Amino acid sequence: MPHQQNKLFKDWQGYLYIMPWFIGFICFALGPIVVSFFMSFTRWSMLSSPQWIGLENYSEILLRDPLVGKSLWNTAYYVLFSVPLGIALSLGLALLLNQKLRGIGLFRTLFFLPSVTNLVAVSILWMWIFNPEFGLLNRALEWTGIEGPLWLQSETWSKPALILMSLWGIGGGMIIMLAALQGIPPELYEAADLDGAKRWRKFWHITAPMISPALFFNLIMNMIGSFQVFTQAFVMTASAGQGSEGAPNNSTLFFVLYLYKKAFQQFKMGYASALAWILFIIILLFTLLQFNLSRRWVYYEAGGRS
Amino acid sequence: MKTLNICLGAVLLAAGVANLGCGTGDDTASVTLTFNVPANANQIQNLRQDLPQFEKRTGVKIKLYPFTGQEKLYAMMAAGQAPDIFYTNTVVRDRLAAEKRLLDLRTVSKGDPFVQRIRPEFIDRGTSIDGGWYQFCDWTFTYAFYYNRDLFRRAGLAFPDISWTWNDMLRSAQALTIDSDGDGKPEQYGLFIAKHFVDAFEQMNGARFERNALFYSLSAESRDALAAYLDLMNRYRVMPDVSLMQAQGMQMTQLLNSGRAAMAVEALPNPDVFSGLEIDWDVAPLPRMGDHPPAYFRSASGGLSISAGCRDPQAAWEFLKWLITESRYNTPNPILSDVDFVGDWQESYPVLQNTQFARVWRLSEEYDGGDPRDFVRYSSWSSSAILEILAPRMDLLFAGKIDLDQLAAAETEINRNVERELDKLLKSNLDSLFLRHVETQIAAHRAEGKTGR
Repeated sequence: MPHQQNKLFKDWQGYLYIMPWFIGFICFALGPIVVSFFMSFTRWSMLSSPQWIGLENYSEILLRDPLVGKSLWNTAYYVLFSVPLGIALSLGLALLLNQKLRGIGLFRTLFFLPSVTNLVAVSILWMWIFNPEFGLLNRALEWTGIEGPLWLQSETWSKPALILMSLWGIGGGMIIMLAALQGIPPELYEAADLDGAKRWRKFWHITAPMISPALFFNLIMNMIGSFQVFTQAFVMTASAGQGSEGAPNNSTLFFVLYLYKKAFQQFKMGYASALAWILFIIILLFTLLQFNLSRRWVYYEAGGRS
Repeated sequence: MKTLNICLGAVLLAAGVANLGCGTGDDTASVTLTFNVPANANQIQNLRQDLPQFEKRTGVKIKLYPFTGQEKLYAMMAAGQAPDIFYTNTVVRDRLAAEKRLLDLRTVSKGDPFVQRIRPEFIDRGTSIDGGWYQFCDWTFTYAFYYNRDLFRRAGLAFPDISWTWNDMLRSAQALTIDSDGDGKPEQYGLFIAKHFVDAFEQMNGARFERNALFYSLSAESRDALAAYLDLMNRYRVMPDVSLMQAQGMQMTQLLNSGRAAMAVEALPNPDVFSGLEIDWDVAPLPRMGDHPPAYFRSASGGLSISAGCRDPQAAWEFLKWLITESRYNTPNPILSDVDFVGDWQESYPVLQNTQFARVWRLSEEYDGGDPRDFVRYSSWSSSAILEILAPRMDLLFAGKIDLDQLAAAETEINRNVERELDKLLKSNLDSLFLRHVETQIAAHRAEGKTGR
């Protein structure tokens, strides 16, 4: 016992040093998480004291609110297309940029730069790109004889537009893939060359397994990020004034955007908290599923398959 | 080293404790009021320059915080740091009043002759269902057609005057629409009315909106106005597609300056438009519709409220008075009956002297139809429940994907959503006076057999 006390006393400086992070974590992460869980069982407008209503918020979300289904569908559509597309393109780019060429560093920087640009600024830029008459995209389509759609103002094209825009940020994933590609021991390729393996076989039997942890990491992070898509939909569809976010006809009403509207436009904090917890559970389930599936395809050099 | 670390830790801790105790600082100085000001950067700059005049006279200090949205205001209130004076719109006003967050202005204005100077309709619109005056309307504007005189001359058309009708407008628009290559995409459209202005035409067509109505209904007058509006685009093709225009993000001044449209509806007065227009322009009132008496749009959707927790309500009231009479913030102010609003604006903007501005403005005063915009036309208690179902339907209507019958059919679904919301509201701990009003209206609605259940 005295030995333990002595150890605690000796370590107090360490505790003091981690205190700022720990206080921040309690105040700005753990605290709000716990409070939001409690709030999800209440009716709370921020200004009056919360009223305990049990599972009413959850039953309304799951059984009666038609916009929950709509926003979940929009989010699922976005995740389904933006995640695979993003991963495929970031891998493709990483493969292209994994060359020993003069000035390759410049290209890597150029492709990475968009991903560190502020998303609000990027959204405004893309609003111009999607402008049906003067935008770059429709101008380019016009040259090929295709009449471009209304993009953000079209119920059919608004989600594809946002998916297309999401590819702007693939630089982050590309860097991780590039690092993974550069970590593959060249001896593996040399051995494959000796065996007469062609490019595709080398990719499939060496590159893919060796970068599978990076692919898996990107898959998980992209999936979580895509489930939480908000900023671009909020900025790009709010031009018609407050309340128009998610237009046209709720085609860009993503789950987090709906949550935001409930919380900060309608001030239903309890309801919004319940929405947040439902999203958390959805993301958790999909993440667990991915971890489960990863055993079949993710290869860890140190310990074989995960 | 160890001693040094201990000393460093002690100093940091002491600094932190000292900082916690700092608080607001000059508690002993004169009263300081915080004003969450809903204005652009220029207006705020002007106000900052004018403030010393007020502060010197009254000894009250004013701190300005730019208004950055209702949600941030709510967060400040929830944190117990509500500004003393802030912007409210009619949607949140009743709710905040029922939460006892707003000061009833009658308590500070009692016996003040200044109240006589305010046009009664603006006091009425700032008054809630409990009879309390919670919102000091600090500005108003109307809508008008801005038009390109050169294009009218070139087409040999008479300029619109104050008695023009919807049919006159349509005939002019047809004559002004030019599709020289006949590809169905005119180079010049007769007119443009953005979809958020259509509410004003519903009003001109005789639709009446009860300010505190809780439920949604699409009246015959509204329906006819919407049909006439859609015809401009789909049948007569004198107006560009509203979705396309919104997607392009074109401002009304760009439309007129580029010759893309000969007429367009915008707010009046609007200094940005005055300075942005580079053509020979004039204004006309919204056209009369059918035999309905005119009811011109006159905004009064928002205003300034004093927090119930204001440190010096009387000083805040004096500040509001100074704001609309002596500062450069929204002065001369049309909510006052004894100012020469038209004359002063014509002096400030000489371009107006050569227009029908004065006549259009006086029409809006004489035939004040109120503010029927969709985001303020419904009661504070049901607005979001109505709009979250209605707004997507309106998107579909303007995109030509549903017709007016289908829009009307949404009434049941919308009101079912409203009833669900109101049921929850009745279980809340809001002021009973407000809840009684809600209960009475629900009962009346159900008695009419309109329940969505």
